[in-house]
Amino acid sequence: MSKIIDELPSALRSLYASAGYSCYRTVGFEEYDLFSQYRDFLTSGQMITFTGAGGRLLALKPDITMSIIRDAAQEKGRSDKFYYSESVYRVPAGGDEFKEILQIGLECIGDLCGYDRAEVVSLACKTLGMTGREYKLDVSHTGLVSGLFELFGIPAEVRGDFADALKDKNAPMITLLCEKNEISSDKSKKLIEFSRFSLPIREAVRELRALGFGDNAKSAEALDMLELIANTLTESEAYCVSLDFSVIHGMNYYDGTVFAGYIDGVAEAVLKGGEYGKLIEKMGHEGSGLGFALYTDLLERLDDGEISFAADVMLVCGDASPEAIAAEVKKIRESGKTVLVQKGRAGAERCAEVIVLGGEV
Amino acid sequence: MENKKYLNVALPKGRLGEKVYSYFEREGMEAEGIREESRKLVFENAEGTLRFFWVKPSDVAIYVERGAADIGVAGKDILLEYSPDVYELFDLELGKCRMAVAAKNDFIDDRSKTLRVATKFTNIAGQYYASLGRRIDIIKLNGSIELAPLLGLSDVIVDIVETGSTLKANGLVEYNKICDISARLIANKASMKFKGEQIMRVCRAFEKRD
Repeated sequence: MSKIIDELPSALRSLYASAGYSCYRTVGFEEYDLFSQYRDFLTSGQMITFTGAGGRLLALKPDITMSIIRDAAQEKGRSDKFYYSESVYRVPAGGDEFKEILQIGLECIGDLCGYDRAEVVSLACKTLGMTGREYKLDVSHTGLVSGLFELFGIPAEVRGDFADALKDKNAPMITLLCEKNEISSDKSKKLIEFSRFSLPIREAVRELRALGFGDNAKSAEALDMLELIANTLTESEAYCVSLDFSVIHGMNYYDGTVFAGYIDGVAEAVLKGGEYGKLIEKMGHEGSGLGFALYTDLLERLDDGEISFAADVMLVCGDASPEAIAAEVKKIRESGKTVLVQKGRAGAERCAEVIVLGGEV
Repeated sequence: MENKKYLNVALPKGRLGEKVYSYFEREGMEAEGIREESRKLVFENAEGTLRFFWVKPSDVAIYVERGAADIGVAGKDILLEYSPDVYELFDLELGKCRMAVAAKNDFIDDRSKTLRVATKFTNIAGQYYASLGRRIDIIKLNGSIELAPLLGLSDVIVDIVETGSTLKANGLVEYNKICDISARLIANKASMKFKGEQIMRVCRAFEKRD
């Protein structure tokens, strides 16, 4: 087992609890209908389904968020804050088979205030920081992307295509889409610049205000939110958070701040999150919701290269008496080392050191 | 292999990769020994900032998506077929060709029958015909695609067409262009966060080339 995967969950539980988040536990499966209606919210629409004892169609959980939304209270002035550490079962993006994925995350749902939202982003930073690696959190806002499209006169019916191009920083596709939609080459070049825009959050907010984003109602609101987030972060966190227009999650469900986190040494985003007010609305609830998930399976190779021993010491006991073995074990443990006892030295490479106690077998 | 300080560049083996490498050379980003005949696959520049490796063209996107390479050069055909989760930063306008539907000269599309399509690019072909609402039977081949309609294995083929001379030599004609293809500079998404300046320096060098 990777040391990070072994130790991170308990550290994160303490972190989330310190911010008033309580543990949310689920059963491994739910009614299929809960997920099927909103399947494009999921990374993959595919689910492992089976028929329950009572004949109901059930699914192994592909996601935790929807269960939490369903169970959250709806009361004016109240926000429910939950964290979870659960397995989900889905086909990862680009994959071709189901995987069990241990996901650690949190959700803040209900009548949210600005601080609730900023706190989630700050907790996302702290989550990444707890891996002990250099990290970056890319942040954007759906209002900012809408404002960008309005600023450039992108027709509503092709905004989805432009969003896809932004998401991949796909300069050739932006050029092609602009040509197709008779958008000037000057604007096309500027859009490409925005697709490559990536600045630390505080600097980015100032820069975008200077570029006139504050004049558009949607992007002005987005900039206010991002500024609030920036002000809530510590100096070192703010340095690791960049505004990047390529962070785009499902536009049908997300309607606020969206973010993706990266750790040096992992080739893809290890954390994704955002505000999913439209999902809350589609599920017939009041208020909004914001959360993120850390995909711990992506962390398991982070300590590649470090030798992971089963124990510090292998105590080869041979024909030594149980009393002698127990005394030696006690001595080793008291020295702060872990110890694995076995009769012979087979598989000794599993331990950093071998101590032979009795005659070897 | 220590990856931290290097910008790892996956180049496609062959003429395209060599042409792309010449742009690096021109910008003073060359690696020692890379032009020499040898079995070596990995080459580093003197400053220790760039590391090049030659890989099969169809594998470049995988190396970049998985982070073994920070950037690479891949054909748009590969990007469309496998949809790797990478940033597509720049059209190098090299290796220009097109993805097209071709068939025998006397082919008439009978809409009452399932169209048999031979191709190496099953996803591109599938998506293209899905957009037309056409029922098809895809026959996955790995080479000599032009042979399929000649032997009655398929009605049409979906393949890369550069000059059209191979089609012509085999009595085939191009019926529809699906899309234009050229080489693209791609980048790993996480690498953009940690080596963004190095990557954009390469991108700008390509943009200002002749």
